[in-house]
Amino acid sequence: MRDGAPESGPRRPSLGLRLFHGDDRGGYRRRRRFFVAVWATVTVALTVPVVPAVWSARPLIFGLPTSLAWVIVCLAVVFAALVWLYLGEVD
Amino acid sequence: MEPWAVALTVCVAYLAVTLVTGVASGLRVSSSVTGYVAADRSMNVVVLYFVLGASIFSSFAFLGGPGWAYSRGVAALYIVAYGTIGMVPMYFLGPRARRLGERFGFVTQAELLAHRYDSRALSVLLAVLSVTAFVPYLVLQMKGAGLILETITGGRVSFAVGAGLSYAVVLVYVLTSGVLGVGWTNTFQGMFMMVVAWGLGLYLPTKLYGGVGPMFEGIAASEHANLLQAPGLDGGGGAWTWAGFSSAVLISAIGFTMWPHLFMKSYAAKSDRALRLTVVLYPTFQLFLIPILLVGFAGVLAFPGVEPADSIVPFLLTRLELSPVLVGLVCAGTLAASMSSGDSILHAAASIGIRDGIARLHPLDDRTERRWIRVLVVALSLVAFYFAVVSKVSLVALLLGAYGGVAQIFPLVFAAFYWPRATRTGALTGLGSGLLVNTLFLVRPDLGPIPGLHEGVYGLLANVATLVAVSLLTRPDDPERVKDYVEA
Repeated sequence: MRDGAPESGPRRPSLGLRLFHGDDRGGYRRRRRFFVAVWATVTVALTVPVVPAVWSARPLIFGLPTSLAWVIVCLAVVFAALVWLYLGEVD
Repeated sequence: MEPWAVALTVCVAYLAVTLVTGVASGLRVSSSVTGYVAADRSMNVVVLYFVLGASIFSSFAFLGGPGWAYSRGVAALYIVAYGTIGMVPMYFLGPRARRLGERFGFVTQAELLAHRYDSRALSVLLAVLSVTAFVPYLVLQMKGAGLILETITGGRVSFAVGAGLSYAVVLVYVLTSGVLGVGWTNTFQGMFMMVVAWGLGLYLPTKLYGGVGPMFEGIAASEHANLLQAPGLDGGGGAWTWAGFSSAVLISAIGFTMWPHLFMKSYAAKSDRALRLTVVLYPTFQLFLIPILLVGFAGVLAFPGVEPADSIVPFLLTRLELSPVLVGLVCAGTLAASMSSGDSILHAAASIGIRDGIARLHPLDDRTERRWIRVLVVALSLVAFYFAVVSKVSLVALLLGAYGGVAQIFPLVFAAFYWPRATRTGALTGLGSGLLVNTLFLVRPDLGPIPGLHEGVYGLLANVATLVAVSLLTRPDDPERVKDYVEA
């Protein structure tokens, strides 16, 4: 290792993802990460039959098959999460 | 006056209002390409909300969706599912695209990607992909318009005349007013669609069964009970696989905001706040799919065996002795669904075909470019009209096939904003391999190792693997250019 030796050539970009700007605050980052976690959870809930009961026809919930009610609940969760994210962001 | 004539008169009145709205709105926009393609970056939340919502909810939603509910049961829930998760990326990607568009003058998706990856070839490839995917999407809209008018008039207005008349109106206001014409007509059409959808979706189950609950109780107790067993039925009437359902949701969600005509609405937004708020409010628009699907379910016990299933909505309208004015309003609502997507698609396809395709190979001045965009608007209308009259493919099948190709754009967009190490060669080869693999499994689904899995999944796997591997093996892109995107 050569201490103090100047770097030569252009700096190579990092190999990882840059999901945030350098000046994004910790609270902003946590909020977005939490939202993405909720969104990812809803995505799994809508595509993987982890709990088969929510994809069944019965019981009818407010007259709708359980599967249809489940999709509406997921829609409501995403909407609520979006509202929460939007209201908490600094423009 | 005969009932069919009353209904047709209502539809013609709707077409007239749409035409006037579309043409008049163009009086306020500049005569530049930015004015024609991005409305001078002036769209507010209200117009954006309806543009994004109505552009998405098309003949596919108003006819194809109930058709799936009628013939495939809860398989139709995939439409609600993918819309629920698919709009979210726009919250993060849209404002970045908007700011870059304002800074560099972008009005299309391909311009942004071609600039980031410094590749004219990528622009041309994206232009070809976009126009290729748009044609079946446009065909689907025209089919919907032709189908509804033919059915409610008992064939007195032929499929071809119905589709031709509706899209002649679209052609006029897209030619004269560009995206602002699309915006304001979508606002009118979107409101109309929502009222009709909720009205019909709650009225029909009540009229036929005494309510939504009794309707589903009846289906669950009948020989059609398998319609309510997730994930529903496949196109052949057998049980659909979870691989098929899940991959349809995922690919459609991934491709959702990658549709160029939606992505480029980011540039038309007045501000980041307007764009984000539109995304936040979007689930309220998505909700109107629920009553539309209920219309399809309403036909299951009352009128079994209707073919094609996509015609269940107009079929119900003509069989239930409804007021012809009401029938006309529902028909107009369906036309609104078709035209609100068709106009956006047509406008975007022509803009992209010229700006990202032809103009990249042979530079054009602003006035010439705008003229050629209009020429392509007419040409694409005629091509799509031909296929709409000739092709027999189902409405949803047309769209699902197109989604696989469009979803291949997502890795490039994501990498442009979030992965500094993505390179031009990685992007080009990734997109190319994704499209090749997607197309292979689209035409030869029997080759897929997982039965029923959407071909777009295979495409994305090839796409991402190639993008990452080739990027790491090639020289990094210009750091200043990369920084503009990562820091946007």
